[in-house]
Amino acid sequence: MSITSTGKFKTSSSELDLDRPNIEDYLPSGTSIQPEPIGKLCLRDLLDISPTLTEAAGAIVDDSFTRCFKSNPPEPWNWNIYLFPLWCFGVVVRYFILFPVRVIVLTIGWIIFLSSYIPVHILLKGHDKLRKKIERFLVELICTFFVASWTGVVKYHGPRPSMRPNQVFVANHTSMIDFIILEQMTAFAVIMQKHAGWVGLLQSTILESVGCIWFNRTESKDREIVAKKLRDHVQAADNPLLIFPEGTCVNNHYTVMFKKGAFELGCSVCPVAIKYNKIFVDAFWNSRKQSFTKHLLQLMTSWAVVCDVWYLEPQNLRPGETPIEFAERVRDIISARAGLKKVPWDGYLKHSRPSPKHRERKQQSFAEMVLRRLEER
Amino acid sequence: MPCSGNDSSRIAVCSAWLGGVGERETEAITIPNAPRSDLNPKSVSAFSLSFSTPWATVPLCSPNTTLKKSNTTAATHQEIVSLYQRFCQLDRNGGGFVSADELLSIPEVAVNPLSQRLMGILNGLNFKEFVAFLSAFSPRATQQQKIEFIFRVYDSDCNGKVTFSDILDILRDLTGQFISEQQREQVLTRVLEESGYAKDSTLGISDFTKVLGNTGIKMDVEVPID
Repeated sequence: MSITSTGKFKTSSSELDLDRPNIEDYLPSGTSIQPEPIGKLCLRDLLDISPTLTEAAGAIVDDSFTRCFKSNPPEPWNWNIYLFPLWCFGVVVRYFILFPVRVIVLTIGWIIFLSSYIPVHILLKGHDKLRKKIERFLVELICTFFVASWTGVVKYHGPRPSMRPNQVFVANHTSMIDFIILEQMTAFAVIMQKHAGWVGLLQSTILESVGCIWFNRTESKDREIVAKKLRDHVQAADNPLLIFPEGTCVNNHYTVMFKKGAFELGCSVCPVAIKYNKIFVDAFWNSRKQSFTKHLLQLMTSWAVVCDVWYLEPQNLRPGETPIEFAERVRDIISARAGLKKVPWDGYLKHSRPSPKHRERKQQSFAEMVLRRLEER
Repeated sequence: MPCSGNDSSRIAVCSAWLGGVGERETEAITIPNAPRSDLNPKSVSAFSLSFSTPWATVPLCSPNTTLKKSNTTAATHQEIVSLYQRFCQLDRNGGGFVSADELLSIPEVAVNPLSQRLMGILNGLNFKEFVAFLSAFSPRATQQQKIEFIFRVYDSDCNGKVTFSDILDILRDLTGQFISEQQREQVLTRVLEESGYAKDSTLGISDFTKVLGNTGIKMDVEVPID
């Protein structure tokens, strides 16, 4: 591997080598796609760097990767003499009536949850099966309270997930509330990034009981441990496993690359598509800009969170298909159902630089063109 | 000449971008095409002015009706607004300028073979300079402006001359490890000689115009309007 660009970002090559091999297919026209000029090499061919420059400028003006993580501000609709008072009235209702009511609802939810969870957790030590069952029910309950606290209007389409071994659920990822929305129906075990703060506390205490697996994105050691835990969990006939294979929150207009981990477990994959209606609030959690608490507050002060969830037909690895192709096929299904655009990028590029391989491919094609045309007479 | 004389009109252009669009038409902004003397490092500001022309002055040049004129102006204004939003998005730490690090966090930029070279030009630009940089890619920029831009990318020391090693540097970025250094030099020497230049001759902007000007250069980037 050659020298990568300097800077605070490090290229984690081992991971990015898993990038789609066909990344160029997605990109706008560039040097590699243009019809090859023929004839003898002349000075003009070497001096004319306009295609490469155009590509660079095009990416600076607009690029598909940044678009995935852009929170689009809602269109202002209230700046007119009739609507403005109406909007002001809405603000008063949302912040001074709805919000306190929701806080009360959530508090009641937590009181109920904790007052039953703690005794169950301590007293039923011997009866693992019963304890698990009750604990899962309670987790579903608290999630229902959460959804109620933003007046979640969630429509579930398709058959509910069943408790079968050898299946894994994958969904597109917009915010941590995806998890809450799915969890209120089924006590999934989920694979998630380990968070700090109160979310982290919940992860390490309560959600352990539904078999959730936590990892740290930056720890490469964690990856192997998670892979092993995944395999163990899938084989046991326990609660279904949920994976967000994008590995990062996307703004619900795009899907980024699916990590292949979920697709090489050798079990059937059940796609779940989640689409938010942004009519009242943008459910995208931009973790760079706001904390999860702030994100929740934003949801709790809006009118409602409207969303559709589709449980789609289970898919299996076809003969001769690689896990990467399989992942891409499932991504197709989810994107088509939820109306999302696909981009070739790895979501982890938020934290690291792309592998030099992509640049080398461009260099190679240019070099080959130069050498070939040099020979022509 | 243009370095001192154009300062006031440059401010006028800039205020027209960001402020009232309608007023622009009353101001007589006539900006000459950048003469070659602009390419020395002292007059970078005047240089950026010459590049900024396509975005700002096209409505004035348009000989069409008033109606048509205002349409074009609106589009240009829209583009400036879009570019400003983009600029703010790229400028993550909100310092009012974009750094190479911020730009390289765009994967499509990072994989570009010329990204390191372009970062030398782009690093630390404020919004005005950012627009000036991109204006060479405007569909309304002239061929000459585009050629001048390419020349500037080659001319790393901004002395108005492109030497053998300047071209070799760009060629190295474009071909990487896939051609050996020795072979690269051979190729370039041969191609230069076939076009009537010696290895030690320097190319000026007029040579670039001669070589690149015959067939049109396609270097257009549309600014997306949301």
